[in-house]
Amino acid sequence: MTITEARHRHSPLVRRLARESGLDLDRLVGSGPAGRVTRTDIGRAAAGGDSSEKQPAASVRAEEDAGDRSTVMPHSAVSVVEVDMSRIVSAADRSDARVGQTSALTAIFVEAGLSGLRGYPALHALFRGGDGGGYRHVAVAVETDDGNVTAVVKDANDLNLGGLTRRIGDLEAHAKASSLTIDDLAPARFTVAHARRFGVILQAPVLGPGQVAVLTAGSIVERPIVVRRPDGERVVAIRSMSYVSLTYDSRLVDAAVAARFLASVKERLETWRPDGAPLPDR
Amino acid sequence: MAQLTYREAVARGIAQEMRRDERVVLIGEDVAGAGGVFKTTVGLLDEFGAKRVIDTPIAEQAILGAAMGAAMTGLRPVAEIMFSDFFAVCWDLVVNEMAKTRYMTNGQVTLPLVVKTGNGGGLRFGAQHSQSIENWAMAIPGIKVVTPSTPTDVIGLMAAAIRDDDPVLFFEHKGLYAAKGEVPDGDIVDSLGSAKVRRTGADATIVALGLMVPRALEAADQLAQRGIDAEVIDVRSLVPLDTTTILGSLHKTGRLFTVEENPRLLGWGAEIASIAVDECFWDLDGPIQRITTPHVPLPAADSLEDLVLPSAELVAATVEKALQS
Amino acid sequence: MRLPLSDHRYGEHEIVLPPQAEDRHDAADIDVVTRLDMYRKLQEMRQFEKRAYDLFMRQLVKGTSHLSLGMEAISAGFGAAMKPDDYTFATYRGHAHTLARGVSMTPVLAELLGRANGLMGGKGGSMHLTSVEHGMMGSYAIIGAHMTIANGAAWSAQYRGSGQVAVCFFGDGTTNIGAFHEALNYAAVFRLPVVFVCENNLYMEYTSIADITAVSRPAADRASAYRLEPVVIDGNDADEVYLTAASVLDRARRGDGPSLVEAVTYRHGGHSRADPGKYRPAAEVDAWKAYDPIAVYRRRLLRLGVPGSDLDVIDKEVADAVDLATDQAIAGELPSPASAFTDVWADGGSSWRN
Repeated sequence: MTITEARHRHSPLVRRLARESGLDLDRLVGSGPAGRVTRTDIGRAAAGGDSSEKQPAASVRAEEDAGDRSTVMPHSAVSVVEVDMSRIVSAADRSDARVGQTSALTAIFVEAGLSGLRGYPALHALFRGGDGGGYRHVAVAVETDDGNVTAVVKDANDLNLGGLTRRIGDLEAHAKASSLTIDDLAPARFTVAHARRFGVILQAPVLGPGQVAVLTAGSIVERPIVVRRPDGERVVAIRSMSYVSLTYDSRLVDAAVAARFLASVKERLETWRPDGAPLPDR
Repeated sequence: MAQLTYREAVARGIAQEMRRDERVVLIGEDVAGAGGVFKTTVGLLDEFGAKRVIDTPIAEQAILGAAMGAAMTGLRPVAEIMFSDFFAVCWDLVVNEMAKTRYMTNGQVTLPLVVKTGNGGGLRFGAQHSQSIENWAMAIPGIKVVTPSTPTDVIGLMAAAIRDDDPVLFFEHKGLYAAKGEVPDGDIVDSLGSAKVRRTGADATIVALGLMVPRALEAADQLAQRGIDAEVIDVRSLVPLDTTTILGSLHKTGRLFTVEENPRLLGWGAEIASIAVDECFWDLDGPIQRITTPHVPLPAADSLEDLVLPSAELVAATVEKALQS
Repeated sequence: MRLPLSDHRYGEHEIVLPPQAEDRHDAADIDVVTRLDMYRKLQEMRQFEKRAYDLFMRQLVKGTSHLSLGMEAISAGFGAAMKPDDYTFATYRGHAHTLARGVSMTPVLAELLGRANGLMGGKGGSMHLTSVEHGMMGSYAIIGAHMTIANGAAWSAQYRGSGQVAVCFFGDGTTNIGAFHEALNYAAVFRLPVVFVCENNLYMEYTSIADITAVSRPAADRASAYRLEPVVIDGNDADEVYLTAASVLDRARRGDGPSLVEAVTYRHGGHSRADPGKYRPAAEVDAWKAYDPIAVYRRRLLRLGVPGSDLDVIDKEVADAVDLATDQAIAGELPSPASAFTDVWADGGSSWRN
């Protein structure tokens, strides 16, 4: 079952019963078909506030949530956009120290992904933690000599670009030193990855149980592309291009929403400015 | 108690009222000497005589006009339109004259009349002799509309219709004429504007009319074997409409399905669905679904007709799928 | 293919002229009281309709109105011959037929103005005037339908053995519609006590009746198809109408069955208010206006020795009555909003659900 808005999963009856019982539907796990909350679920929750309500807890909770789907593999779908990274690359060329580091580039992708999520409450709801706060379930793929590990960026929503860069840099250092903790390695719902190895330009990983989406930026490659000049004439120019893909669970995320999310990420990346603020709208 | 067919019940209901009130008279094509082409008025000519049971020419406008003129001047006529499809030939008398005259005259004219008709498909009579048109009548203010589904209801609702002081269209279902049912002895008088719960249940409300009622009940049996407990309501009266019974059931089950023989657009269930969404939105545990004949004329071939008219299997499959999604 | 408008231009068809002599019935056996009553009725109808026209021009009468100006002798003649419990069924051109049954002018005018003191509380309007207590069983707007309904009233009278007769008035255009034929056959088969009166004013609506009817006498030439006698009368001679009416009513009351009467007459005005009337040749209009039923009747009464001053008194009394009705109608309140919801059903309500 695909959804465009999380609240559409709840029937009018269920919404009313929840309202009357003072229950938060987002905290309830559904036992009905395709995970629907049923009137029986409401009845049980209202009676005892028991295990049918989600408990806030760090990785333990994350596993519990993932466990709801742990026996069912997500149905992966992929959408891809092509992003002109020239602006960001030229900032790096102008020796902006913040952009030069690989962790900084990853942080830029994470930040773009987060801003996309903020613009889409539908996706937002999927990734929100049980404490109602920030993106505890945003992770980044960190490269080590043994391959990629996924590490959680805590409170990602509260960090600015600089903070994200530092946090990701820390995780990468720990990963290299093999000193990541269990806490850091919690399974995540939303992951950002930057594929740089071996010049891979497009990567769309298959989702594992509990994962909802992975945003992957491919290697940045200089290529000739068609550009429209301000006077309207089209010319061929050399630009630094990257394929940015979103792999997502098609049962939970609508293809149209995925497309709009990617468009928002693309916009953010293509209008990026060194001071962290995007360019004003054209 | 006696076992009576639906068609025998029609004659019995009319006879019951003709005995009671000599103002009740019957007119129609072949209703007297032949006892009706569907044998729904057998015995009436013998019992009540040629003055009260009258064979007319094939002239539907004249038949309904005569019924209306007589009703406004002291009689209580029952007129027959042989096949409900033929209402199209005399629809002016129904919707422009009978339906509106009391209102336009500000209550000066009263029209205590009944028009009975053979409605519905399933007998391979083809597109012009098989329609269900009670939804046409429902759309016109000033006309009462009933469709019984059992012999007992035929008698009771015929009595109620004849005793009612307003124009009532009495839709008999041709496909049910041969159906038998237990009928109590003595006079039976029902009331217009009342639906009946034919089967109680907790998981879904299925609302049906006419021939679709036995099919809905059969579907409910099939559903029970699959663990779904369906409540089946026989609407019986479209105008006046017993919304209390229908919405009360929906409040209990949270799921509403209608089974309509009308072609898709503006079947009687569309109005009920609209009322339910308006007044019981917060009771709905899922979308309301109408199970209807598709929006095509009825084909003559038996295999095609059976395909398009809603079957018990279709009803059961639709309800089961809906409750599991 | 024969097309009327390729035979002649629109409005240039062959004209029909009124009768020449107007004294044929001077010696008829009708007492002067009856005649004076008929004269009064003629005046009421004429002056009422003129007032209705004026009020329409002042936009106090809304919608549309179909006036009987020039056709009064038919309703007046039958009105005088009918018994109080006989039934009248008329078309949307029913003002005169309503007055003919003795309904007072105020409620009729108030109904045209859409007021609460209207004959039907403003719910029916000009085209549906009804007064059951006067035997005026309704004015019907669907051409031909009321003929089948008149049959029903006649059947009811026959069934109850009451001796009542139903009289159904309709126009020449009605003779070509299905319901006309169904009703005539039905009435003849069951020998119903019903009189069908065709007010042949020579025009369907905006089309000459001769152009679109297969026979030259639209009603009379159909009578034999239903085993009825063809009867054509001068619809502008109130006495001729009265005598014919008495005869056919008596036939029906005796149980000898229905009659079909074709009364030839002419509209002074258009089909309805909106009608420009350009389809009638001037020569024809002028000739028929000269054969005005009221002028014809007045001249007869004078020839019979009724003082002109007596007739002037009647004229004045009617004028005063029309003025009074006008005042009372205009003073009438608007119908209450609640009245829009009353009397759909016999219980007075309009509810379709519980």
